[in-house]
Amino acid sequence: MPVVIPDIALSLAATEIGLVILICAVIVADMFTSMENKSLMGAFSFFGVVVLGFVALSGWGGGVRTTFSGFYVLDNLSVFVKVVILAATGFTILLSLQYAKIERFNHGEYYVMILFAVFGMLVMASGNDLVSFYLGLETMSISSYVLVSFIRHDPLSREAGLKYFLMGAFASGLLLYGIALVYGLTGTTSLLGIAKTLGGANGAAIGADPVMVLALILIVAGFGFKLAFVPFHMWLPDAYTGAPTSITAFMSVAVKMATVAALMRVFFIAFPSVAGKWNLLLWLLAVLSMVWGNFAAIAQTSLKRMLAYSSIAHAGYVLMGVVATSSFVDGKVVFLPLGVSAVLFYLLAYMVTNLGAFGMLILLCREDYRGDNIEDWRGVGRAHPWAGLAFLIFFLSLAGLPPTAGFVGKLFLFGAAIQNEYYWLAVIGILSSAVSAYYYFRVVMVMYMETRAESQPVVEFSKAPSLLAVLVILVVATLFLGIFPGGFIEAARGSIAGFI
Amino acid sequence: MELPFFYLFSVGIIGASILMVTRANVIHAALLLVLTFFFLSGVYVLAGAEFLAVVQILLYAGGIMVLYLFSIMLMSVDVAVRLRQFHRQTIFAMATAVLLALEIWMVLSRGTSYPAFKSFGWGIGATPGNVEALGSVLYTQFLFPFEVASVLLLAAMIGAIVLAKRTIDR
Repeated sequence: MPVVIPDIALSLAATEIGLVILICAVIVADMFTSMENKSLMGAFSFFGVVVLGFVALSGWGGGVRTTFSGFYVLDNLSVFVKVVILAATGFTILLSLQYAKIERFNHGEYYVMILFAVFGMLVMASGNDLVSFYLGLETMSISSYVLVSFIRHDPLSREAGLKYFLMGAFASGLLLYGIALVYGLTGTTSLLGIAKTLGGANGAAIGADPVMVLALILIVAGFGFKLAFVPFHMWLPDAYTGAPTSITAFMSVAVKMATVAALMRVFFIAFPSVAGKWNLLLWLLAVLSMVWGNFAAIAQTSLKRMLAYSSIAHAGYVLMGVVATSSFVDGKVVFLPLGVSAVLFYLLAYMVTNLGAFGMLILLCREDYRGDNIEDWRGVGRAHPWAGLAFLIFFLSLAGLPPTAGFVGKLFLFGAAIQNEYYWLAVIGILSSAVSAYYYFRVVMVMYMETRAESQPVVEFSKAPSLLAVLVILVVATLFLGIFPGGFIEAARGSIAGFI
Repeated sequence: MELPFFYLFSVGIIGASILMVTRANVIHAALLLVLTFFFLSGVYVLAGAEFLAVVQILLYAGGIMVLYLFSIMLMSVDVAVRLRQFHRQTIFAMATAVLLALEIWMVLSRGTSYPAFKSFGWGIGATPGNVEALGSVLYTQFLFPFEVASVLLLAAMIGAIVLAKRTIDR
């Protein structure tokens, strides 16, 4: 039987291929690096990621191109997502350089696992088929399980890793079962193929099949677990609190970015004809996440845990944008691009803000003092005005107040929801956002209004130049995105080209 | 010629499974499970799925069962045998069995009307054989998932070593 090798345009996947080469190079170089010099691996990975960021950027504006027999797609959406993920990775590596030494997990494998996770995310961003999407998701998840439990001598970190692993494996199972049912119903795993079958002659019958409803529920639940939407969020507070702070920051921005991009691709491209069913489910998850995430955050005394709950709420806002993309006219769905571009811009804004907020926690961290409770920030604002100002800007952005990135992002999300007549969603979003201002500003109040107790150790910030540089860049970026968002909004709009 | 073998394997599967769930000794149960897997792979061969048959033996009988036996041997089996075993899961197990039977009935009653059954036309005795056909699509059409899976396995391997190694601080 003659085997025909298909024509594969390898250059389209240059970012992924380059990343695998980088991973192998770091693994090999790690063997020849002494225990004291492991930060070199971080620097090496950082420069590799920067180069790959430009490689990914070069794919912008080339239209929709598929290769690898349709398993891989390169369009503006995937380029946007990849560049933001690689930027987040670069920041995370810089945040980690000093922190890894402090928490005593400075191993070369740490950077290798981050890069593996990034590989999975890039594959997800370009996954044009349920199979390639799922494999990317698994690569990302398995690397994240390891990263969460990377402080091996800390029981909290190990517990976090185990919880995340068990829930994550369960979620993968749900998702895979949903994918299998979809394959059984449509005979294909290709996103375009599924859309074609569902839109074809038998499409209405397949779409109305109870098995299809079950498949959609399973897929939504799988995504719900991975993105920690309420009520699938139980693992998140523990996993985010126990994980190394740099990894919490990385997961809360990069993992969410990649998974949301994949969610949009799967639902908008493969399942437009059954949009009424999944949109309702997502609507419910968005409302629950916004409300519960914000209310649960109020009760927290640990700042890290509070930010973990707030990330649930932020995932809810993002999902609001996804839901608000669908507009129903006479039972037929029309996708309006405003929702997707709002989601992308918000994820970008959240990336710079949240990395900054967790970076502030790392700034306070020392060998004998973690400093991730709200109490630990008592009086810091007055004693250290620059650090206080930086944290204040990140909190303004998280709460969605001007002149920050978070404000513009929320403006767009609520604008999209109102324009597409999801009034209830917008109202609930705005109200829960007002609740969030309460707990963010409680920390600001502790920083500026309260004085440090005698028993508390003197504040001593990390002096690592890489960490300080990242924080300055993130503060500037948060303000820049809030004051001059024009170019980035154009980029978010442009990334829909050829998508919906 | 196939029919007697089919009955042989089927009776083997059912008999070994019943014996498996009724043994008090876990080691015996695990070994009977291996036997079930072997009979099952025989059924796969009869159905023309040679690849699945080999994978069944390699992965289940080989890999997963070894893992089971390892974890059983970490417990003190001789004590467990003497204890009266109860688990209060009879109703749950019966409900699951009924559900699974319903599912099988649902699929069988629709026959091959599911589109997935039609997309690959490899019947019994088809040429090329099952393994060859799978190999040819795996390295051409499914090249991308294949490569990503290899990276996934490498990540899992390194991750497992990082977490399980006694000490990384050389």
